[in-house]
Amino acid sequence: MGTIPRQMLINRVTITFAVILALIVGWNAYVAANNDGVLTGQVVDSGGRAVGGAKVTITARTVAHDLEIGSIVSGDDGVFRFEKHGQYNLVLTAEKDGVGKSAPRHIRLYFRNQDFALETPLVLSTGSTNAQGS
Amino acid sequence: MRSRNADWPVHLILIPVSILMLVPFYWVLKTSITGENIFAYPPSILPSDPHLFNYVEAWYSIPFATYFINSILVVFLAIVANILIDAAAGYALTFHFRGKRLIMLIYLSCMMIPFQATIIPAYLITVNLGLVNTLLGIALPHFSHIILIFIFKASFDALPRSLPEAARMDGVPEWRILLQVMLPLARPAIATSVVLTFIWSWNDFLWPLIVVRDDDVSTLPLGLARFLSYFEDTTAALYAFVVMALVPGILVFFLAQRQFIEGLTAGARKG
Repeated sequence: MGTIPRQMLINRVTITFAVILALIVGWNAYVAANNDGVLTGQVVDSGGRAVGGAKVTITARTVAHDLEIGSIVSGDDGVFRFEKHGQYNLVLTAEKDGVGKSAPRHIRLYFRNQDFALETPLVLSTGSTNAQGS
Repeated sequence: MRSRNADWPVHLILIPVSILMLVPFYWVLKTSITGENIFAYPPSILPSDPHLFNYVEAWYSIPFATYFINSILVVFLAIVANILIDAAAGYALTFHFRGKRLIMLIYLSCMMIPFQATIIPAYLITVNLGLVNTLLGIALPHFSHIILIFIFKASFDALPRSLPEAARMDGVPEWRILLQVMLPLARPAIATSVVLTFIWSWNDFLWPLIVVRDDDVSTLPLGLARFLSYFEDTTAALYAFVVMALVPGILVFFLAQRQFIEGLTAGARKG
């Protein structure tokens, strides 16, 4: 049985496709390890104190429309946690009677259901209207 | 012999022209990674705050993976068929037989008829074969291109006649001479066939538009049109889609460009 010539195994075509295959496998492995849809963050007031009992709303944003898909109440330490959000482009808002409302926080993810932790908390204040990107 | 330095006036013209021709590609790429308004004045040359989220948007807004796989399958069918059919036809034309000139004349005449003029008979044939709304039906008109037959013929003509004659004297059948003697020596012609078939079938819009009924057999150009009709104000995602559709063609060209150019000039250099 003859052996395959080295030039047929290692050339620019096979190397290019091998690199592409490796990138695809690597990316899918990364996605599989980070697609639990866990979205965490914290709600604070304008003085930086944690706000418990704030209603945090998640809204899916597509090129066609915005659609509210769920809400959750923050814990005593102001921390909230969504699971299996199932989105790649979303907007978070938080509000609590007597404390105020946060500016909408637009979050874009690299894949659907990506795990994500907000780096800066949602700040409740009276009269917040400006959108913030993330 | 001309010195390499003597070419600088030519390069002086070609470099700006090349840059000018690459500007639209750059603009598409830049818009896809920034989402900047393409009509902004003064236009910004360098991208500001680039990101890849428009690609994510394009990927999820439409079944991109389905379109992509369909396009790959159509291209694969077309390439395999072209290499086999066109190489066989090109090889046949290297022989001297009665009516050869007439066949060449018919081929040349057919090259002058635009596909749009034959689209109704092509559609009726596809219907009769039961291939409407199938990937095979989309690939069918790309199974043979006359220009590629001539490229294969030129490539085979450039090879020494003693090669097939020696194989024939050893009792090798013609199909094996073609596959095992002639084709391995006609790699530039194969590369040209691959690149041209890839580009033509990858970019084809009109024929798939006619024979495709369902979204799950659509190819990328149809997907692009659907994307545009669904979402009007999504320039950045649209351009991201365009870049994703462009990349495979550019990649194939870069991988085969040397052989592609050799294949196109094979006939010109003969003799």
